Amino acid sequence: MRHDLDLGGILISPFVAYAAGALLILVGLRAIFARIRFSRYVANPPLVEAGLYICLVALLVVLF
Amino acid sequence: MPDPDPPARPASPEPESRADTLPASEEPMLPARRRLRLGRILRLAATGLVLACAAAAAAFVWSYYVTAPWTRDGQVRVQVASVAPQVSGQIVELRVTDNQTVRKGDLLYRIDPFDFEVAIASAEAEMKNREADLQVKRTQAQRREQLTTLSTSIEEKQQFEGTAKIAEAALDSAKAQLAQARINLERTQVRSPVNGRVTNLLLRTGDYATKGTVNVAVIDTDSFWIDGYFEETKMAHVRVGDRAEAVLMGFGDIVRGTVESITLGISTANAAPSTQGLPSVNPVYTWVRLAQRVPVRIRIDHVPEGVTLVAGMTCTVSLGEAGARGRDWLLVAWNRLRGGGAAAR
Repeated sequence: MRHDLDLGGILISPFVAYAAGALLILVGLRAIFARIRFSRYVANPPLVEAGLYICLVALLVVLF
Repeated sequence: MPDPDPPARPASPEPESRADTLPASEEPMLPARRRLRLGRILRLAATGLVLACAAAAAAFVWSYYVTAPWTRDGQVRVQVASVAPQVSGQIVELRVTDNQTVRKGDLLYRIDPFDFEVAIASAEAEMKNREADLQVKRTQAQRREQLTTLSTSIEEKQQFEGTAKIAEAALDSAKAQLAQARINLERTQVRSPVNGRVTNLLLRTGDYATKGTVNVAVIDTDSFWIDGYFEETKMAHVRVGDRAEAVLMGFGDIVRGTVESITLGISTANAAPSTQGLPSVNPVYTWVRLAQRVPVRIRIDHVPEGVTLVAGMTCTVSLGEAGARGRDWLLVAWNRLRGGGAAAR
């Protein structure tokens, strides 16, 4: 929330960084999901992944 | 999700096919079907749980960004002493350079003192003149006073007494003139009124300094503060005395401070009188309205090493501890969990 991203003088809200970070974590999680055959445990994997992404963003916002 | 699906598919129809291939014996079919239904319910429940968490997280993030008291629109501010000479004259000596640090009372520049020395000499002469005049007038009045009315009249006595008083008043006036002339000579030495830095110095020896015209700006280094421009939607969470943290653009370290005061008014364009003195009211869209921003003054308590405050710098200001809301929320949740565990034990 405090530290802006500085791209050549253009300052970007840290929320963008959180969104990108959450995306990276989700990519990692997907690799794990593929290994453990995640779709066995949930009814709609894409929907669950979308929900997980929102949770991850919120977690990053809370922690940093 | 293309990867997990193909391996998952053969897994799920398995029980179904097994159930289909065994229609003759009813006993293994029932538990299999029950297991299948239970599995489906569990999977739906897991999905629902994740979605509920996501909804709660989204609500939290929304409230965090919309109502949490923080702003990216903060600025470092400072008071500037605008120094103007109290007497006019040519500058004969400039004692400071641009960006020089000065203490309160340090000499900034000197105005040619000749005229003012002449004024003092002249005022002193005038005072001596008046003193002598007063002495003469008093002696005259005293002499007349001692005479009887045989050799002088009461009127003449009064006249001489009055003349002596006039001479006394003239002496007082001359003394005041002399005091003014002395002060004026002192004022040819223009001094800094604050501790600070000379800024944007555009003076040269030989420039003519005009009385009352500002020619040196001294930044008061004791007076730095931060103005945070908070959206009005966040003002409910801004309180005087709150702890504040500001991060200057380009610096990683946190400048700590306290909310000192909140500005009680900003200008309203709708109040400006126009034709016939009537208010000129701007039409706005009903659906889209911009939140006004209210300046909040933050007293700086601690500036980290290596951070040089420059008035006009942009900073991000947040009130309360860093991530305090989130951490509080986590702490409360953690304590509740631990408390629940302890109670169960």
